[in-house]
Amino acid sequence: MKISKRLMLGAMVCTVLASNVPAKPYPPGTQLAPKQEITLNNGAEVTSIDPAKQAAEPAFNLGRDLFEGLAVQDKEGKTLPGIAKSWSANDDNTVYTFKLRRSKWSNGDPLTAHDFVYSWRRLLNPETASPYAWFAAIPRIKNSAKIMKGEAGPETLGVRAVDDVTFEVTLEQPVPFFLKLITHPVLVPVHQETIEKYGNAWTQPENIVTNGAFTVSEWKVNEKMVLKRNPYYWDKNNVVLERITWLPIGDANVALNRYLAGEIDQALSIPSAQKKSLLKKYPDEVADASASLGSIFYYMNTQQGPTKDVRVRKALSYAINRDIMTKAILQNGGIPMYTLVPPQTDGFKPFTPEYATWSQKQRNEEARKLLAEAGYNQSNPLKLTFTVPTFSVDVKMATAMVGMWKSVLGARVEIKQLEPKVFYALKEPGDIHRGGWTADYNEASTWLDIFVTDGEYNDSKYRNPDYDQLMTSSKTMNDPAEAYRQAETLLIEDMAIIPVYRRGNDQYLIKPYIGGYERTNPEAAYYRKNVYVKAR
Amino acid sequence: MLLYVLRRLLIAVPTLLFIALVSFWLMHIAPGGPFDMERPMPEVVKANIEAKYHLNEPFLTQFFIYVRDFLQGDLGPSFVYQDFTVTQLVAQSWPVSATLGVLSFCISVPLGMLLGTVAALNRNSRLDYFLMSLSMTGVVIPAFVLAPVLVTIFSIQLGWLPAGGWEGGKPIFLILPVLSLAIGSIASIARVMRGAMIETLNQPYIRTARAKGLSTSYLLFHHALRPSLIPVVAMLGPAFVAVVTGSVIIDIFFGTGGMGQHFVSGALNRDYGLVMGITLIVASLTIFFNLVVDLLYTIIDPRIRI
Repeated sequence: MKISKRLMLGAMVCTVLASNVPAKPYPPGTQLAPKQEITLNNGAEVTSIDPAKQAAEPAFNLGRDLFEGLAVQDKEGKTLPGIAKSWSANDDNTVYTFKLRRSKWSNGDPLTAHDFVYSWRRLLNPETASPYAWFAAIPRIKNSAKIMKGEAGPETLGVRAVDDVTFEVTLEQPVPFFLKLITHPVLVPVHQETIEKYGNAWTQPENIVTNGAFTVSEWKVNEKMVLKRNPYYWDKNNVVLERITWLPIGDANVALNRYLAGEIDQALSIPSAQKKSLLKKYPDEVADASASLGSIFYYMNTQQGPTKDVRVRKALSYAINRDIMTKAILQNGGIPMYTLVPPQTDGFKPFTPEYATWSQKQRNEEARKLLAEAGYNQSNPLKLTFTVPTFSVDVKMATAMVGMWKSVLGARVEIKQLEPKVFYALKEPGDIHRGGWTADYNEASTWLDIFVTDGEYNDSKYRNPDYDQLMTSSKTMNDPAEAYRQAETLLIEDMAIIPVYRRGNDQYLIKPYIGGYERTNPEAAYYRKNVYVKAR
Repeated sequence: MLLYVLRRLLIAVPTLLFIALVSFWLMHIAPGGPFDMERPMPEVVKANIEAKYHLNEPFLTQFFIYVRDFLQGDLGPSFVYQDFTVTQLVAQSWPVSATLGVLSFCISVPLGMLLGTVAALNRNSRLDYFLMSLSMTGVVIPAFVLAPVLVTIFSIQLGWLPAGGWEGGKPIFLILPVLSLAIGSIASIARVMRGAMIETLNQPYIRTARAKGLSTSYLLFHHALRPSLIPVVAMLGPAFVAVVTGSVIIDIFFGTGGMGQHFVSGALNRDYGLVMGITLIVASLTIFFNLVVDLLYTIIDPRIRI
């Protein structure tokens, strides 16, 4: 999105007008079912539905229906006005002013700019202990980093209620992608009175107050959570569903059984063994999900061990046959990756490294050559350790990769499988270990910031002053696309990671009477206010 | 007798404390903590969270805080289901597991004993072989194989029964999980019962009774049944505790929301509070039912004194 650029060019306060006029989510003439109820699987039980305690997608997914922030996303991922009707920025893009619509909480209380002030301060307050507090620190909201560390009080945060319907945010420096962040489910308002009255128990169905299209009516951990329509939601006339039952089923086979028995209306991940035959058996239930911004890559230790040598890193990366990985092993629509940032990322100009254009045979030859140059041969084979969590897909992939390294390079790579919690806590994970990333916002810096020197998630321990310089200067550029492209070029020329695949278009099953659930959003951000049940 | 019960209950207190200490220690020495995640949190955020849950305190201080809260009836917070306390989670999930467990027990005990007795009375006949092969099949087919088979037949193919869910324990939702739980235990109870019954039937006093011309049914109910019960009762005590505290396979497969799933996912997620809470419940029940079994012995066989 180029909003910030235009704002700079205009060098004056301008207003982004509401581009969407609230409308019914179904096409005219659609016959609706009398009973607007659906059952969906959320893939796991959530840690919390308190926006300040969420840290992962199953919770965010519910959050989008329960709470509405300043802005939301449309089906293609564009930012749409939410509780804010419109917004504007000052000359140097450091102060953003949001005009809020008059809306209400699910208990009928009016929602004001003060609610946003309270909620954003609460998110950063160390006493809240939010696992996603850092998200408000990414756009450098004034004092956010200091508050998180306990060096400043939450009341010093750069947010202000100018009046009941005007919310102002001050940033420490212009951040070109700030407006992309405000749709995130942790930056929503929460109801102060309820939280102060009930403490930790404020999210229980009998206590909770929400401001989104739905609110909670029932929650039994590991069985189900039932949401019902929020009668006070500002756009309630355009919400069709009356009731959503969310199941927390983690096992794809169990979820599939429930779908086949007619108890769930959507089966998102279908076990690969049964996928082909099922998609063929139920052609009118097959739907497409477009690629979301997520990818799997592998970290290599760039500071120690054999992988310190860039020739070894390149050889390891070249020797992976990504077509076999995606088509034969994963069968989930994944697309081979030779770089870090998914090319469909908004405003990103992807770079194609040379090795991506070679045939696998060429890559294998080059890999063998590089490894020989690095001094490894039959009498002195390359020996490495490769750490992965015990998830079956990770073990499957690692086994295939080790096989490729053995047959192409004669390398002896030992797989160390660790229970997930042990894997996550590992401080020294060996030569190679499984990595991966899901975009926090649709912009390349969410990917490239990982690999700055001493970055929190820079598990390759990659250090390159030029890279750091590019990423630092990109922060204040109007159009950082070129800086991003150069940074990614450095990263891949140094082969700090082994890119393997990114999520691609996939197919899944959905009952044909469910409408409005097109899975096209690049961040997989879905809102059930768009969903309806057609008459059968 | 009363003194004996009191003494056993008193010993239970240090036993439980010891179990608590050991499991607390085991949880803490396992590498990886509740807040180590796929995407690690910034150190400062992690420190804030650990401070909130006292995880930054020394081990013994943490244990002391746990015991103090426990004595006040507070099982502490869940680290993974942060909107709930462990007490709430147990209150939600235990009735589910207990219902399933008691129902399956009510089916498997009488049925298992009946089959075992029938097989023993017809020892080495075709009926015996048939029943015992059937029971062997029941023993070797685990619930995680049986449950999907039942679901495929009754839910997907025939559409008679729901494939999962609890819905407050409506009977139709109970049938498949109870069956999956019961079939295995019917089989093992039948095997134990058959063995015990055969042994009793070989006793000299049974031969004497037979020689007196007593009918088989009289013989069975007045002479053979009680002594055969001892091994079965010995087995049923721990089996009952296991079955009423939930089965992770049933919970995951049928999405019932029972306690078995909490126990396993709690351990995998390092949800210390949840695991401790359930461990202490299981331990207390085990101690209690072992006592009940011991008392039952004296009723079944008056020669046993306590």
